[in-house]
Amino acid sequence: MLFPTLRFGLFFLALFAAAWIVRKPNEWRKIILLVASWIFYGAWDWRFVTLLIGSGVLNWGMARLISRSAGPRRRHALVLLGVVANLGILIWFKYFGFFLGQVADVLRLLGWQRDLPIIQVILPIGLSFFTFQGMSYLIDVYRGKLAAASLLNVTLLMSFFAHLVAGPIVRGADLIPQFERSPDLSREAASLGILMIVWGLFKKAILASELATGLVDPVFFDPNAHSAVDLIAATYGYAVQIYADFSAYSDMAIGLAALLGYRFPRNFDQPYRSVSLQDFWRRWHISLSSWLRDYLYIPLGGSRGNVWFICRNLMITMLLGGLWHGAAWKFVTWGALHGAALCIERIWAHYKPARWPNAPKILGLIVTFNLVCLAWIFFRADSFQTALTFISGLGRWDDSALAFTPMALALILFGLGLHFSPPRLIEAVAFRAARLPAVAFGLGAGALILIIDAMRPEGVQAFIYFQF
Amino acid sequence: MTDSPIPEPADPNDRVAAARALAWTSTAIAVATAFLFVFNAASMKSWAASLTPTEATARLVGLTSAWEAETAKFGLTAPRAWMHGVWGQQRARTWNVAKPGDGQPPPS
Repeated sequence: MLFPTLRFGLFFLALFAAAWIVRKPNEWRKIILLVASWIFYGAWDWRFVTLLIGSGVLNWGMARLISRSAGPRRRHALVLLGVVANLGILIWFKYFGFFLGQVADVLRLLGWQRDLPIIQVILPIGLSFFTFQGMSYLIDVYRGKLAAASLLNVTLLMSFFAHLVAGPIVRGADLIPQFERSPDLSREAASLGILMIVWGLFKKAILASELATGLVDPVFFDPNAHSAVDLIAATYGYAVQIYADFSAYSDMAIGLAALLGYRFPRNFDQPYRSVSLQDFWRRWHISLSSWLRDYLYIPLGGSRGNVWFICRNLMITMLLGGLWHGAAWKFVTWGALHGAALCIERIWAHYKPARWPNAPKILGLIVTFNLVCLAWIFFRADSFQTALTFISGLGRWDDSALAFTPMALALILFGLGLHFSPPRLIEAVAFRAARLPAVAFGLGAGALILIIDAMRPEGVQAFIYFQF
Repeated sequence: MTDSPIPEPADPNDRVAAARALAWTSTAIAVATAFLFVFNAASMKSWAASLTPTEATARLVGLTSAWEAETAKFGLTAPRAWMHGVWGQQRARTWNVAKPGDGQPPPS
């Protein structure tokens, strides 16, 4: 059940009404949200609803045991067991086939040909998101940042439909305190929630879908059949597409949760205006980058050491961050490129003579953006080999353009232009719109949705991050 | 709380303001839904047509088709159709740069 569909719209209207009619007692409201979330998830595959429930029960039980244990060694062993159990679920569904394939390749290289058992494991949608959420909850309970919560709150934290399949990764410390009290709406929150849904709809249905179907998909499908102009356009087009697609999902998730009275964290902050890779990771998929910082980079030692120790930690974090996106070498390469660039920034900052002037910000912005785009080629290509073919084609100059159209150029420029609009513009617009009478606001929102629906291509593509 | 774009209610204990905000939101959503029901019948019809054919969905297709025909009588489907057409024209545009020799017959 995709957000930008009529089916989801009807589902949400019914849920909105039910959740506010049964506002009290709060427990009943949460049960309604939980059952609705399972229906939402079950629309893809009912079998995995049991996995979702099982994962929630596992983390609830482990957190209870941790909070009741007095000895530090026992608490440490329990949190370790909980994290390993979560990682076990993730590895089985997401990485088992990949690792088995690598083992088979190594054995073949050693001349030891063996037929390893082929197991096709279906990847449950949103698995990486809800297992990371479960792990952060357990670790926060272990660290004493959060009290062990009730079974209802933990299962709802992990199953809540708004963030379930593609984030943002909302931590227990942020959401469980909100579940513990009856939520309320304000006009400003509702206005911003509705506008974020409409804005997300625009970014997904127009920007991302048009660029995907008209430019990016055909060029990446067969890079050899396209000129350098098409390849360059598809590279920048994909940068805009993945931003529009993923930030659209986050915006809609934040907006939907806001209409039900809950506040989700910001997940994007104009990432292509970053002047360094470090800056980029403070603006892109913020809930994942802060998760990796707090639960991986800092426990590895973080920045508490010399520059080479910091680089080691950065590389490990980014390689695992790449692998989080998918079990394939292209994602590892993507993580490695980001890790290497972050290390170069650190080394440059450390060894640069103090009397040398800092590079102008515009230069930092151009270099960072193009590095990010280069790394996106590996992220988007079907395989590592296709990515290399694509990159080698960038030098094959020919001014013909089969897929690059005036519409594609306009969408790319618009998508990049968004990053240089005033920060928090949508919030400012929403807070002004909240002063309008409800009828005027509703007519305006309806008209905007009508315009978007009239412009969108036929059909709705799944969000890119659903596969992770 | 991690940085969120959504503001908290100014006074969480103000029950009257919370009730008014809920009424405002419900009205806005109801008006937007009604607007789309009237002006976006084509979208409902194509959604119904995309569902797996059953007796129930066949009835739904009939209802949405009839509703679209009804709204079309009053010209209510025209704004969407016009925007769809204009956008389609923009999508179909190409650079159309004529190169020297284009359009001339090949040398015999």
